[in-house]
Amino acid sequence: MFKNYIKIAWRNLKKDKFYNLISLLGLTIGLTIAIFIIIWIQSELSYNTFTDNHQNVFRVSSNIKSGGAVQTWGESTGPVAVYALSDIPEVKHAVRLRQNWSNRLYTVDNTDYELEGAYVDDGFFDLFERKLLAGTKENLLNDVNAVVLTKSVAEKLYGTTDVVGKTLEADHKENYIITGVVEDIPENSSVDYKLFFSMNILKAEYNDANRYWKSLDSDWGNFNYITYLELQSPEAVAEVTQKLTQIQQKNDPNADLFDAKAAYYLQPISDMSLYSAAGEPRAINTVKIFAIVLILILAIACINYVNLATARAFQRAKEVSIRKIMGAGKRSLFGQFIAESILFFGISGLLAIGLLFVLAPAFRELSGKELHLDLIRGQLHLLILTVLVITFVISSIYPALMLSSFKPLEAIKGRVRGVSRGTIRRVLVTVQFVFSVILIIGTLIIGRQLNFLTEKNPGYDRSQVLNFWMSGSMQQNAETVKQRLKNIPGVSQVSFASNPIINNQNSTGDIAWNSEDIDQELVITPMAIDEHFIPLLKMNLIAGENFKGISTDSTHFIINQTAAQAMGMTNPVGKNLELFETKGTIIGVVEDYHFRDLKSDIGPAVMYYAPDAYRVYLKTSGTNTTATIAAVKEIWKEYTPDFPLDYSFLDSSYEKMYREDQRTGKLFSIFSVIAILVSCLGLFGLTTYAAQLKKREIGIRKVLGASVFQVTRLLSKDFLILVIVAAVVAIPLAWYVMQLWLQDFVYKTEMSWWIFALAGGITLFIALITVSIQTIKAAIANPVKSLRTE
Amino acid sequence: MMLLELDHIYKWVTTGGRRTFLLNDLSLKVEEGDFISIMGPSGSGKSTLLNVIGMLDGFQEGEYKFLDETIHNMKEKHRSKLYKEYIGFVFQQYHLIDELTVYENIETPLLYKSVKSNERKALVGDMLDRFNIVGKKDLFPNQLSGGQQQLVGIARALISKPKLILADEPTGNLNSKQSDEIMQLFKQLNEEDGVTIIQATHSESNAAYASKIINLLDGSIAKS
Repeated sequence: MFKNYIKIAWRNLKKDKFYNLISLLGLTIGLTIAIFIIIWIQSELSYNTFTDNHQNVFRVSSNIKSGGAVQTWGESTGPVAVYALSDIPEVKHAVRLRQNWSNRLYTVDNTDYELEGAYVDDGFFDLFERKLLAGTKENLLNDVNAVVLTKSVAEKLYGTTDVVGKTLEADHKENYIITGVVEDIPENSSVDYKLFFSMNILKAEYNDANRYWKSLDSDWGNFNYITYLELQSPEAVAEVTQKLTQIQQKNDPNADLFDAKAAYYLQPISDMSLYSAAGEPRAINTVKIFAIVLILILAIACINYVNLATARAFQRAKEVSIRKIMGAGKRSLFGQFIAESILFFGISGLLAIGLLFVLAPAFRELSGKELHLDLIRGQLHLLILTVLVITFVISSIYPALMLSSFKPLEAIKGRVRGVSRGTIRRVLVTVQFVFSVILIIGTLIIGRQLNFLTEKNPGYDRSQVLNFWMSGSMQQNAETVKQRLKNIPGVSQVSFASNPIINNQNSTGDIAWNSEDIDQELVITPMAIDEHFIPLLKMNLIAGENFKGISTDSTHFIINQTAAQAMGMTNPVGKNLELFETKGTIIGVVEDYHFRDLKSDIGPAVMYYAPDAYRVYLKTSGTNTTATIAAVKEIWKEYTPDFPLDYSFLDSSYEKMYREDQRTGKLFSIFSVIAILVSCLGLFGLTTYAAQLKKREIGIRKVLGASVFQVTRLLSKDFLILVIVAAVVAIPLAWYVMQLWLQDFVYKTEMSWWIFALAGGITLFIALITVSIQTIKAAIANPVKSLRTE
Repeated sequence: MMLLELDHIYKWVTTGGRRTFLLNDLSLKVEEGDFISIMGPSGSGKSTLLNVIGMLDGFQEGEYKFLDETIHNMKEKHRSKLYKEYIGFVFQQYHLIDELTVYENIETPLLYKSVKSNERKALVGDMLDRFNIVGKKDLFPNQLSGGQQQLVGIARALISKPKLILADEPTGNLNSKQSDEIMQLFKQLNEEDGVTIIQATHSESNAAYASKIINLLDGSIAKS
């Protein structure tokens, strides 16, 4: 019986090519995009979940008091892990990690490799369960010369994992001995490093007896470490947080720097990429929005299928009636139509998966992720299969029910109820266009916001500014270097500062000012600059003056507006300020500028004077940039022959900061184009059928003298009204969703009414064109022909 | 033996508050082995009568007994089981399924009766033989002439061995030669296989093949 069903289904597929092509195209496109989004979402949600114990692993964020509020940092100090392990029984493992910033270049057989490494505590690979493929677990990272490689790096550098005991040269000056090789760590992880060094290297830096902090394990002031805790169970979080707070309050000499209620926030490691260090939603919002897009696209594809299948019911009615008279029961007819859907979805699903592989490079490019398309891996195939099955069930049951329930006598005479009116179908078309309009509005708003980001004045001029980190040997000759850089023909101004201006993550609470409220803690963003910095970046001094480049500048500060406000100063110039235990006076106030992305508020910032900080800013003329860069490289090479120059332009770094958002925008626009395309496919199919059904009516009207325009209007009106209704329904929904997305940004564009009007207009226009193709064709047809066939 | 009995059947439609009678106080007895022709002008209720007998259509008043079972208050499921078992239909427009071959069209009723594959093959094979259309078994309906299509239609009606064949203008779309062939076939089925046949027809000559002629006028049997 089933074989018979499939056979007939196949013949039906071949017979009505036009209809089936449209239907298949819509469904396949929808499924392809759906599978892609599923893979993408799955990859976002699987961040840091590569170990079995990941649900028990937490990152320790620090809650630091700042101006009455609390700032949460993802980093913590050295003692946290030590105390957690020794004093809190609920903690199974505790390890610290600090990226290795000092080494960059590793050499094997005269070939240089740039690799990222990190210092980690012993037991790191117990917490992040990685199998040791070579070497012994005991004393793996005990020695300060020890280094552990991941499998793929070992293979890349040495061609084998049998490398224990071999030497790895770092930066052409240090040698490390390989003590082990571990399994690779997946890319979407916070511990995705290639090389692991001993934490003892950092501990050894404390051998200077004059240091205030005596050891790394007791240094409460250095927030350079990411602390990971594995708990006995996730339920212990509250308990552990409380105990950590007690420990901090008891042992930290600057205990009051922290929020005394909860000094720490334990964040599940799988949340690290989706939420902020404080647990506020970040990328998760994008994931949610794409989950919505997934549902919308699938729904549009399903509706298409349902609409076209039921619109064609007219054609199938005769067959159904005959079968019923021949003795077919409702159930067996239902089975037949379900079998047809299975065949259809099977073909579509296979096509979609094929298309996915064909489009994989494009998808990779779009998502900026190494998307793993081995669908068998993990539970991905189950997930995709589930979505396919759900889509199938939703979209095949109604048509099958409808088709199998015709009254045979009526159908055989061509009087099929519901086919000509098709209320459900009209509702479905409306829903489809509601979704399309939502996506179009989303695209417009995201596009505007991205535009806003790139066009918003950040408070400084970022055009034509080349910048890079000086090397140590260069910095020792800072004065000469500055002079030489200035002499390059394409360079008009040179400035040194301590941080990248685009994203300055520095912060300190080591600040004091004459305030009645002595208790007040304030965390500010400090930056060392020279006298050229403010003019080079065309920052706006709204009060006081710039540094002059003279020795007294070392006790002068320039603050931003927010800092003035936070410190309660209405007239800050001339007031006293103490930063890093240097007492001085405020000489100027700059207009607020964005030193972090527009998702963050502008915080208080204090600039102090240093003529020889490491970050170089060059204002270039913009003409002959290549020659300018070559000249800079020349100077770089003289001082730093071993390393390539790693430079960037402020402009492009700024754009890079929003690359994820740009991607979201691009994906969104592609998805909405597809959504509207698929919706229009459905609309096109529907108008075709409507025109067929009304062939006779059109013929009669034309004979009676109706013009082409009148006939076209008659046929188009119905559908276009649906689109207008859809736009009206979509607007509040889209407003709600987009407001969710915009929440992420502190600085954002407003959602003006014209965006909604434009989206409605675009949709209506596209729908009009789609509908017109068929209706005009029907309207200009010779009426004699259509009447004769009756 | 009595096959079916219609007793004072009334069927009407209401348009604009007025009843239009399709069947008006119609009573009819059909014995097993009868060959009945129903004649009458267009709109006299021939098709309606056949549909009521075939249980494809209902009626408002009266009583209908088929093989001593009362039909009119029977559940839909039971009723359709009954007509699947005992009734075969032949239509003026043949109503073959366009997507199926000759073979498959004939086989379809067996599929719905869950006949096993081997048995189906044998039955369809017999039927093809008997109607001399073995050579055409893999053709689709649109590749056949009208007469051939109607042969397939009759073969399909016969495949489930019905007691009764209802034929609504079976030769209405055929030329006189094809028409005669079909009538001969009906006669043969009736006489040799004992199949009861009720056909509606406009044609006097076709009607003459039957053993009994009923004239319908405005939904009633005209006194003859």
